Amino acid sequence: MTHPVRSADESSLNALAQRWLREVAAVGYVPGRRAKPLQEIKELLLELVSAVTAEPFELEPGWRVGARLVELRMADPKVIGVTVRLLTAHLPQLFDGDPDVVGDRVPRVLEQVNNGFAAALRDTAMAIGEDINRAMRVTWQADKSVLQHRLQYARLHDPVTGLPNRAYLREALRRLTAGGGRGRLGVCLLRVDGFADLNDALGHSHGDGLLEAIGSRLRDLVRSWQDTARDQSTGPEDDDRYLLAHLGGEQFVLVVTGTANAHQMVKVAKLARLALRTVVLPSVDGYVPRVKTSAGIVEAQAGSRTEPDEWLRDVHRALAWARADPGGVMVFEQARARADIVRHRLAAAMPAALERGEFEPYFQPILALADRRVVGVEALARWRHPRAGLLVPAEFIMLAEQTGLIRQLGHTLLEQACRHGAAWRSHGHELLINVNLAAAQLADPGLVAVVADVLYRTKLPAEWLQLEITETAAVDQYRQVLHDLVELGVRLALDDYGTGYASLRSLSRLPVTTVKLAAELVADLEDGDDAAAAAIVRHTIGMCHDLNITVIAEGIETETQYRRLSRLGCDLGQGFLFARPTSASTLPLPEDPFPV
Amino acid sequence: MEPNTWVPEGVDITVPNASRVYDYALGGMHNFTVDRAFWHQVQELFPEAHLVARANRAYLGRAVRWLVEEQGVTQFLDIGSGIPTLGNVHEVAQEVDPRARVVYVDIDPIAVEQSRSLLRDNPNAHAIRGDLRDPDAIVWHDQVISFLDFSRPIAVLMVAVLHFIPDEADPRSLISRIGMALMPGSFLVLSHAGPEVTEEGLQRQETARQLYEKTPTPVVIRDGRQLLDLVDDSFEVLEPGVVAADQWRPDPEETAEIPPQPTALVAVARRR
Repeated sequence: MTHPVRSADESSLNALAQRWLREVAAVGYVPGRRAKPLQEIKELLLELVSAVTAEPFELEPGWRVGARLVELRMADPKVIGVTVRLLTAHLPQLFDGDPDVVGDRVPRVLEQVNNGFAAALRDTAMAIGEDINRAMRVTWQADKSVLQHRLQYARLHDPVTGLPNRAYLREALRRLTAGGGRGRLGVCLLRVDGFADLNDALGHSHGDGLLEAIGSRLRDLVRSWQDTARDQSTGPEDDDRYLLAHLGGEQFVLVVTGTANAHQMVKVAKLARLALRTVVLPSVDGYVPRVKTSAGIVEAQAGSRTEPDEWLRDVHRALAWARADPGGVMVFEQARARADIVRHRLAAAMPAALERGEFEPYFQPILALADRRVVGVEALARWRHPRAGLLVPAEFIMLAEQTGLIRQLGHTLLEQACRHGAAWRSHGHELLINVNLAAAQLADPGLVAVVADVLYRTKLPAEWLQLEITETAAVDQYRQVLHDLVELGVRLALDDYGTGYASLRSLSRLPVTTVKLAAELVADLEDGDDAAAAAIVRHTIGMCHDLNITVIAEGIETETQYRRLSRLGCDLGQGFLFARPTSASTLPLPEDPFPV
Repeated sequence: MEPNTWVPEGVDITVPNASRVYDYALGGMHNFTVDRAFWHQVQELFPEAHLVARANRAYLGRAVRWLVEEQGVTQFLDIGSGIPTLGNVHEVAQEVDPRARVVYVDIDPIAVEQSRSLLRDNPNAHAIRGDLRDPDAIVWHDQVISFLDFSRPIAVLMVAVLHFIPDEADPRSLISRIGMALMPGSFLVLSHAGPEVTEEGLQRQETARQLYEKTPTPVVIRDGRQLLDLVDDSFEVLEPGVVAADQWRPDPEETAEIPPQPTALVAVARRR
């Protein structure tokens, strides 16, 4: 049997193909116009026909047709159902030949179509499953890297302003200074003055709003500088000359690379401060806060400091100076920093030094100008430092005031001075003991009791103690204390008269019996032609005498000054011309003639 | 360097995802058990639900073909594309004009990754991740602005996605934002879940809607009037206006295959 079956005509073939596609499209989505899928279906039908008629008979094409349906994305499970049902019923009609052979071959071919379809569907499903798996891994990986990025970002940026934070700044400085760095570098630390108070007063959310506004203004400013730098750029390195960071709270930092000198950074700081003065801040209950800032600057060779913290330390020091300076901007200086360090060490050593009794009074004689007779002494503090040697008040008094140790220091000096005074008296030397009283001591409610106690224990008669107060705005509020001291019998002198908070009124209101003319006024007398200086001194002395107040001139260094003061009627004087301050044991006593 | 501030929500394959459910509804295999289980629930209520999906997809095919063949549009931005498997934009458009460019946008990172895999060998089609609720991020996306030419007309497709945008997200202004980036002569291709036409159908639809409430993408049903209201005056809605998907420039060969689906509302508009 060479040709058991023969295929039917073209039109029956087309009709069956159309019907097959229609049934497939009814159960599973077939996109687009029908011409193309119809052509595909027709080709599948032809392949099935040739499979059935082939000699020798082969099953393979049936499998291929099933798989091809899946490939054509006619892959809905119902597709194979309608295909097998339709072709079982109608495919045999396309052949004329031995019905037994056709009846045997068609179901076997369709069985293969079914198998091919199922196998292809399984393979496709598994391939897609693998792809989904891969897509998920890729997605998770991407999510992870975004999270890592976010984490890294959070680590390096301030949460309120979104600006680079201290950690970022440290890394940037490390990069800029690595291997000795290149060129010069400027770091400016800007501080919003009074921010903490504002933050407490307005509420922290408003405080954050304020910082955001400040950060945003600074960001704009830096951006404009960057644009300018880029326009004038000579190389790609100019693109990144500026870095703005937020150290948190009220502190912002500007880093500028390639600076020429410190002046350039001062300009940067001034522009930033100016910008912040005009920044529009969110108003709070109708109140629009104003921003005032201080700025500390370090400008140096990039390699001058190898550790980022050294830059930050120094710029913080400069800021501390700036905050105490009316200009509000200070540039870091090594010499001043060294002096600061010495002072800080001294401040730290002071409490123990007080306990060990390292402070003692030196005494400078006070003379009657008329006959150069020693009538009193002024006790001046000295610190006998075990390593630094003998220190004068300029080196530690301010520290004592800052650390609050001034009361204790004042107390110990008062007691020692009175003890010496009493001892000299017991040897027949009647000297008025002058002791300085610091403002902090005046503020001590126990002061009068302390003085009374010291006088009692040292047995110095009260009228031989004269306490010197500096005329400041604050003195007025301690009038009661001063009157109480006078009640004890102690005398009061107004120190540094004529330079500080000069108030003629205080002379009449305060119970002072002596005025000490400031050394500056005395120095002016050196110039014989300075008639104004002489007039001021003469009138001051005249006025004091009218008020029954004794006048002591301080800082007499020359014969000229001495002579003119004498002529002007000044009562008493002290200064290097007569004697330098000296220890109690080496003080020349009044009987000794003073070298003139 | 500014970091990517848009953080993807974690991929959660324990809740059904709209684009994967839609893929399954169309006979696709890019989906998870949870998506299939969800679809079976929907189909219990709506045995013909898959036909709605088909009507939508067929409309998309006809609209894209019409845009390329008759309007000469060769640039497409498909927002909420899901997984571009069967009969998607690039297949239809590039069959007519192989130079046609397509950017697919979807919020689901897995859908995007799988789209990229499917489009690996197609230089004129890309997939990016984006959220319709942040339209600027889409139209200003690096790949979008570098791949599509905004000085020429672009067809923006929002097919079966707007019903996932609640009124609170102000879908009208989202569409306006996109419209602002488009040249006159550009197109919007929209489709949206509309109300059932019978009382009994409405009840079943409400039950199905409640099913979606439990997914990350609840559905808002809007009628034809409400769909029109989403499009501002910078667009002109073209004939035949808002109609059922199978009524929009129907292809007689297709319509014979499935019964009409009134709940798939569609419209095509042109940028004035």
